[in-house]
Amino acid sequence: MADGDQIVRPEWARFPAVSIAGMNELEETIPQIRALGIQVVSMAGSEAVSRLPYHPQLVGDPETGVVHGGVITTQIDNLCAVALHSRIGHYVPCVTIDLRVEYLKPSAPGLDVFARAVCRKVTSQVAFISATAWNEDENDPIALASCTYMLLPERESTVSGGRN
Amino acid sequence: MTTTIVDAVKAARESGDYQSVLDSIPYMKFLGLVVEPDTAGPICRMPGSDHIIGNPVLPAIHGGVVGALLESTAIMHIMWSHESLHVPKIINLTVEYLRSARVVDTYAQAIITKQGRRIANMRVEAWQADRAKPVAAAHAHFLLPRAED
Repeated sequence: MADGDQIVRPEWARFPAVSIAGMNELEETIPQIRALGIQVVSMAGSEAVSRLPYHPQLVGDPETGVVHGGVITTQIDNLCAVALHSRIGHYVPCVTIDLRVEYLKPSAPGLDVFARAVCRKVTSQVAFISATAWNEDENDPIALASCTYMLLPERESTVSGGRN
Repeated sequence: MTTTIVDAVKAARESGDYQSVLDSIPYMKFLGLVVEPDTAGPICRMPGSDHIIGNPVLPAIHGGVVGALLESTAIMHIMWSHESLHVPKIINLTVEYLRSARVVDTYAQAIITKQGRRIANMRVEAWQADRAKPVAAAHAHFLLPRAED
């Protein structure tokens, strides 16, 4: 935990507890994530890593074969929620309110995209997550992102099936 | 292969129909985007479909897909506005999510807020049934090619 202040709030505890196996089951229930083939490869504490396999249908520039920026936006948006859930330990309903992505360089054609999200801060209502994406070397990123989620613990669970 | 999209953009400038440009971009086609001509620039329509869902319980379109629609619309606008025969490179994108996007037709239209020689500053909005109630808005920067033709 980056700042050692994780608190499981009482209103969060009624939601199913997070596990890596459960997280990938949950990802499988999300049609767009399944369509892109995104998989969470690790998840611990405030951090999560996912892999997006290269596929020709994800190309955004037919002259270069570079993946569309929107695909990386989706990978990062999704992974930020995973890191948030990992940090608070429960599948608390949440929605993205703001996402900024800086595209440092094109994703290399033919290569998978990896991303790491780190949940930096959670309050009772808001969570702040930062993320990076890369092809082969995490120290040579293709994208940087920062994302803000709103927590909605008053809502019914948005987790469907296979979560407990 | 390298001339395909350039030829498509040139043909679209003659015909006014940019759908073939969009269809030559695999991920835009994968999302099912449809270009609807407008005097202020192309409106991109994304039909509701199962594979764009991000929350199957509500259900709602994935936030990342809404971001992809906004980015795609900005790209189509730049090519429509005769600023580029090629897909412009995105520098950054900031999306504000304003409302949950239901799994129905979603529309987006862009404006160029500032046109430099190398950089285009864009603003894009997405809406569903009521244009006065946008589901998301973005601002973004794109790099323009040095010389167009």
